[in-house]
Amino acid sequence: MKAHATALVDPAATIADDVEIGPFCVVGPGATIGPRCRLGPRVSLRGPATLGRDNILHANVTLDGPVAIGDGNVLRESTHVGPNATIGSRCSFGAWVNIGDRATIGDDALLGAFAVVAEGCSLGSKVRVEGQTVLEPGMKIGTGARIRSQVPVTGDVDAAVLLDGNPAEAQAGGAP
Amino acid sequence: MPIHPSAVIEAGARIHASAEIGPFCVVGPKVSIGPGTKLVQAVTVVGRTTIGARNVVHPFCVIGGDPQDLKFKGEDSTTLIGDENVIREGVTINKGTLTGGGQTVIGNRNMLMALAHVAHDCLIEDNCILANACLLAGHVRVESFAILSGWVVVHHFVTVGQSAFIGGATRVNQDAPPYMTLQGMSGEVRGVNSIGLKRRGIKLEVVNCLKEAYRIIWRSQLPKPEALVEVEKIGGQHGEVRTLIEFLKASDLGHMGRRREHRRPAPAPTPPPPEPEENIE
Repeated sequence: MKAHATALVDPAATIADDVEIGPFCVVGPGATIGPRCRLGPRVSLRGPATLGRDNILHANVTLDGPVAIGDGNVLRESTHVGPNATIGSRCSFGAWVNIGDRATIGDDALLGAFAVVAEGCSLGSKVRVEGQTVLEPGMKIGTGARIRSQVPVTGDVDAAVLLDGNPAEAQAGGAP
Repeated sequence: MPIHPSAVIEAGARIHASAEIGPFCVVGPKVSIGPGTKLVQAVTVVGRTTIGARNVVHPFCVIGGDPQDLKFKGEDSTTLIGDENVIREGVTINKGTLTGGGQTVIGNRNMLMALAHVAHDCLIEDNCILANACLLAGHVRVESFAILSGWVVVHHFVTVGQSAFIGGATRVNQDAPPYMTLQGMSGEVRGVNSIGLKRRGIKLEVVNCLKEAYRIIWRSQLPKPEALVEVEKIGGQHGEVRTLIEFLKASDLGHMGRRREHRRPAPAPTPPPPEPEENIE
């Protein structure tokens, strides 16, 4: 483990040898960080978060409590993940994304900046959610669905659907 | 050089003697910070980033981070910030990509309010305002004196014309004409930004001519080419009107209403399907 001198890493955390932890990070007890993960400045793992391998957490990211994250994900600046959320592998989140409590994100998901996934939402694999989109609590988004920017999602979305507008409407042709 | 003892300044960073670096800031090894610029607190500046003179960067900003672009493979691209900009809390500015020109540029005297996001290869000229949580996708150009209200989202490769005013929570999917106001999910042109033009000292005669141009182009039933001919007749003597006409022509020549869309790199060729295996039976 290569941790900056200003980082606070709890001795009870389990961290692979080749993990990089940046300045002013806080890694709490019970955290598990897999090989080749990189934590940028001021990243906070406040509870027993579990990270697989090759994850990149940029500056100011907060994992708030027990969170499970797979492999090869990129979480951009100031993203927040709530307690008991689960994130698959190879996902990419933009800056200021918010993942609510108990939300589940499948593999290969793309979430644009400021996307809000409220508590209890479930996103299938290869879902694309563009910037500034809000998913209300408990929504289920099917595999391969795409939701355009600023769309308020107030109902479940089927697989491979392209959702746009306010109020949201499924578009002809489905997700590109 | 007032640098707080808790700040982390990596070897190689060039910081002017009159710059101020506040507590818990992180400054990478390829960063240059000019005279009088102030990083207030907990600011992260990384990558090959140059910040000019007398800027103020507020807490939790991240400047020069990697682009959020799947084509990015770790190139040493740049972020350039001019002079006298105000960058408020939590703003994120990503560096450029080689396929997009290699640099993200912020000009002079701009204000980026809290949580604004500027993606890779964007160009913001001078005297612009991006209000709170404003989101620019990659390759966007914002011309001088444009104002983007809160929660505006701008599509890739869009050009926002000079002195345009974008209303709150507007989606800008096509080029935003100069001197106009836009509003709504489809970014409709709603009128002339007469207040912004007055602030710039544009003559009332010119503003009135732009209002007539707006009526002809967006409120009459004339086809666009004929409308532009009419506008040329009534206001072609004014530089602002000619700028509007040329802007609209360029956008129409582009793709999807975006003049810069041609800059989008061609998609990688699809590999040929594998040869069918011979039946050995």
